[in-house]
Amino acid sequence: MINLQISYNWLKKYIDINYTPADLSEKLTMAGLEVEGVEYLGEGLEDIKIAKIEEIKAHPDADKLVICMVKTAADKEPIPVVTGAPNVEAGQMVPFAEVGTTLPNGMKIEEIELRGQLSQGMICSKDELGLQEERAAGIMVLEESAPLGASFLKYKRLDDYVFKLDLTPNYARCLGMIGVARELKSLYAQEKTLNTPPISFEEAEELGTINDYVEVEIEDPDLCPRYTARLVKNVEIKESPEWIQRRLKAAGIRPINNVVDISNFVLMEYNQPLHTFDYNKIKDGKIVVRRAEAEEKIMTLDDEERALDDEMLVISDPEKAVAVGGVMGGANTEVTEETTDVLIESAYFNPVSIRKTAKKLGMHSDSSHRFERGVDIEKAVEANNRACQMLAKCDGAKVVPGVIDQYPLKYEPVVIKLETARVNELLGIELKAADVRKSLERLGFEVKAAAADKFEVTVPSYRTDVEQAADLVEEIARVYGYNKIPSTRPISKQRGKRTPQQKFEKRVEELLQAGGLDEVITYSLQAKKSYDDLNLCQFEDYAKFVSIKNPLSEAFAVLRTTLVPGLIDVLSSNARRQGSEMAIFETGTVFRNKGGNNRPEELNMLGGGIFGVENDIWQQGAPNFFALKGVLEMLFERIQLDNYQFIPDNDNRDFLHPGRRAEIKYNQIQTFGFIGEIHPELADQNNLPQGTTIFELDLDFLFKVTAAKEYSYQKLVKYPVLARDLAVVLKEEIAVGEIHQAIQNIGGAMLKNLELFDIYQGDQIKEGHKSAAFELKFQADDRTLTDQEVNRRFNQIVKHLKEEYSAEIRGN
Amino acid sequence: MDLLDDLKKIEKEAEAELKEVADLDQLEEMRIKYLGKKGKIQAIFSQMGKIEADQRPVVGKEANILKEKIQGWLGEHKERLEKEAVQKRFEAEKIDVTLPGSEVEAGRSHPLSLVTKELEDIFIGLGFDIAEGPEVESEYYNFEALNIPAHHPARDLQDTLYIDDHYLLRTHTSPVQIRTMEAEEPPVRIIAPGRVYRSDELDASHSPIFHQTEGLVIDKDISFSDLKGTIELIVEALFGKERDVRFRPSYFPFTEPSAEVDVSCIVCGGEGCPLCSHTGWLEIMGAGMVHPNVLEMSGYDKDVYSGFAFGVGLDRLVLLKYGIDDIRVLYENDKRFLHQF
Repeated sequence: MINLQISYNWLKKYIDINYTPADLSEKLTMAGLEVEGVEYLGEGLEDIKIAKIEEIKAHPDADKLVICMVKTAADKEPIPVVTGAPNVEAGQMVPFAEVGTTLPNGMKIEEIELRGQLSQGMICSKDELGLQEERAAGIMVLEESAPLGASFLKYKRLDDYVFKLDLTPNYARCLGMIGVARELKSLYAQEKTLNTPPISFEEAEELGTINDYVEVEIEDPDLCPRYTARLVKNVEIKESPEWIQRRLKAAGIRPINNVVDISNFVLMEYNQPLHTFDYNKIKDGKIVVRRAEAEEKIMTLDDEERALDDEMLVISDPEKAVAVGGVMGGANTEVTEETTDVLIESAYFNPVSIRKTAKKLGMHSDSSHRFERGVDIEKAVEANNRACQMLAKCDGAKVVPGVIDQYPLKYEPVVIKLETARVNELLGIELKAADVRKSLERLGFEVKAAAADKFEVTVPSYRTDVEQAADLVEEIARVYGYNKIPSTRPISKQRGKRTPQQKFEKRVEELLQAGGLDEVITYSLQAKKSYDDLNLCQFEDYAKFVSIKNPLSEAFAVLRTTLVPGLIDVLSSNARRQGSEMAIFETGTVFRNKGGNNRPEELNMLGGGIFGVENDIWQQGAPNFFALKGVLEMLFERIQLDNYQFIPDNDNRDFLHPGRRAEIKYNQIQTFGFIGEIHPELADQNNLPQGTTIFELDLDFLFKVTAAKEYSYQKLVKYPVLARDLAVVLKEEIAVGEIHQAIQNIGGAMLKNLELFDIYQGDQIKEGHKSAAFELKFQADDRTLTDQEVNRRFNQIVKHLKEEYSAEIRGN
Repeated sequence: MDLLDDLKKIEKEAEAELKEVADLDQLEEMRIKYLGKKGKIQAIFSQMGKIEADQRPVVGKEANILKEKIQGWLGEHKERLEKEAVQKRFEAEKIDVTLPGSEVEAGRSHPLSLVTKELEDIFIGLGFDIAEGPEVESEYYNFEALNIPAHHPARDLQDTLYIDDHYLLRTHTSPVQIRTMEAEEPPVRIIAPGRVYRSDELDASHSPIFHQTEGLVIDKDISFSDLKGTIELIVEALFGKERDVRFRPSYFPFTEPSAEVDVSCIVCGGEGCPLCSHTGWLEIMGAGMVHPNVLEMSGYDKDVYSGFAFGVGLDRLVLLKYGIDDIRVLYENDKRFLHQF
């Protein structure tokens, strides 16, 4: 954010510093005026010389070319230069690039032959020298007095550096050259003086006084505490002198005409925005500073019609608004070529009001930027005089004696109490009272001793940023030097820690990584369209969008309601890049609209996805599903989540394969997540491999139900394990999970472990049936189980399965 | 019949035969042949009755000596054969250890997480707690309470994404300062990592969504020098001892004095290079003493307590730490990228 451009040469007019540009850049930055970049204006022009065209000869073989005989130094013979420029004339002084020179645009000058004629250099045009953007019609012609053989950039005073500053809002005082110079003097160059321009000019006594011409009335002093006006008559509107133009260009301001340029010059010099009116277009010479009327309109200088309201301040004459105060002038009183009498306004406007107005009208100007940050109210007249002085130098211009200075709300200096001890406490240094005083005085503060080590500090009017003791502490620290303050560390009486939930989340992440899932981080602002494309809005919770009022683009228009779109995007972009397998997870916040003016709900979710698994353990054609489910089961086991179920999801979540999706429930009732294959059609549309499986879980819920769990030691059982295999043939539609549960229920405590190890459908199993094989491990904590005991229990299980599920027992 | 001669013969015979024994089976056969119940030594003993009585002890003694001798030979030979058998087994079971191990895919941490956790651990070591706050914030917590009133130019420092007139997406993690101060009595010592949002167009160095961590310390007698010491420690932990740190005056509405913290460029070490725009320094965080207005608004006595706060852009830290030149890479989650960490 570059908001000020200052020229090295210009700055030296105000303070006699001898820093190199690199030094100055460092000093400014370390003073808090961050230099974003430094530009050398003469970049690439170092070798351009001033030369003279001695003679012009016709080219023997080309009508449109001529041969200029160019003299580069008094004691050198002229050299031939072939050119097609239409404006060359003998006797002209011109910028000249000798053979071997490289121009700013990168063009290297070489000796060449043009249609058989030797050419040993180039006479340059403005655009070739980088002095203007658009292509010039011919060569650049210099004044006749330009010294032969001299450096072009020195002659044109382009031997200058421009510092591009990014000023924070508290450096309002440095939005002008004098302010920057004052800052440098205070911090680095005590012995230097600040050279403010001496202002003296002749007033044209014969014209009477300003009061004969102008009347100013401030209706609303809150919005305009001070308004000054001066009148300069008989001004001829023309180009500014070269030196003013050069200064403005270095500051990044385009020269327009002498009046506008002078007003901009004073703005840059004093950090005081001025406005100039065509006096003769102001009805009765009367200025009224008032609030705009509701629905009042004004055409501003940029030829836009602006609708005003009664919170905005306008400068007005008895009939019409002539300017939006401090923001932009009106077209109706603009200084034009016909203008002869110029009314100069130098005022102070209320920063908040200016900011609101500029914002509402979408007009951010150099003036509003400064008024918003606060200008030096005490300098309004001086700045006005400076403009008059400069205008008075234009031929024939006459300054009407006197200045109108309406100052209804006089500046009251801020006085701050400060204790040396507190300064030292806050900075961790040991300054003496005298050091504190000296530091502040250097910066222009007026310091009075109130008691031992206590001061009353009066803030100068240009320090609009200083309001309280803390601000003075910063000033003292700046003078002392931040980097000279010692480094210490505060003593800690407490033990640092993560909250239980933070620990839990960290553990979950580690477990998922152990399960082979890579962590991803995706954008939490998304396109609503991606939800429609993925058919996500069918699921009610996912349609509770929180929309951004001023989105950057459609792609970042809503807050995510689920991690699903982000995960799918990662999976599909990796699949598109020919990734053959991928397994990911993300923990993150999702947002749900709670309706009305309620704060949106923020939930911590855990989501993930997988593709490319080949080992199809249950021969169901869904290796990804069971691989991902396995990771979740491992997670649940490790966080000691009991009593969860994967239950077929019958009618929710249309984005998943209807036959391959499950809700994950707690205690049979509370759904806290899902797992499922992406719907085959959506998979195709998103370039995802078929079978890609995703899940999402409510992480807050998982934490809540497992938070109280701690690992506890259970005595290791020393009695033997008796194992039995059980293979049952079931109707196809019976879920194995149900049988698993049934076996466990009947098996009771002595059935220590139950594992499915095979599932089979095919040749030896009758149509519409499947075989499931379990391994049952029986063990008691307190004794050796007998075969009879185990057989009895085993038979109970078999009986139950036969009765309840019409199961047939294989191999029995 | 001279049994002693027979014994000598047996000894020679056995000695010769032993040399031919190539495996444990043959060895066992030989043991049975000589030392078994029907073996050759036993045969000598069974003939004892047929010789002179005075010869018996002599022959008996010699027979026993030979028995032990052969036993010894067999034992030694057995040991040798066993060793050879083991050796053979090892030869047969030899594998090519240069073949690759079986694949174990441990999941990776996203580099943003890595750096965040690293910072968290450093700060936990310094006695800090990890605090959190909502990403959808109210105007009050994001601005007002941080001494950024409406219509103050400081609002321009951050382009804000709004939900409605009241709620917005937090532009920094600083609101967690306020929430912490409201909820807890001093001393306070927290960091608050999290997501933040700005209305910045996505490009190589900007992202509308990025991550920060806030730090806040409030107690009696907390000074700017404490801030410096703490930050220098963090820089050292993150970037190593050889980095220089400098503090320069800056502006944040919620701190006074405020500082920008630079570290000497990690690429050129301060010489100047494209990464540091030839300044030799990289800006890594903003910091300062908590503004008295902020303390007061949150109900702390500004004359009793003081504190410091800092804010670090985590994405930028990740980019610097790993030499990544485009912030978008962090959010693309290309597997080839993720698997570098």
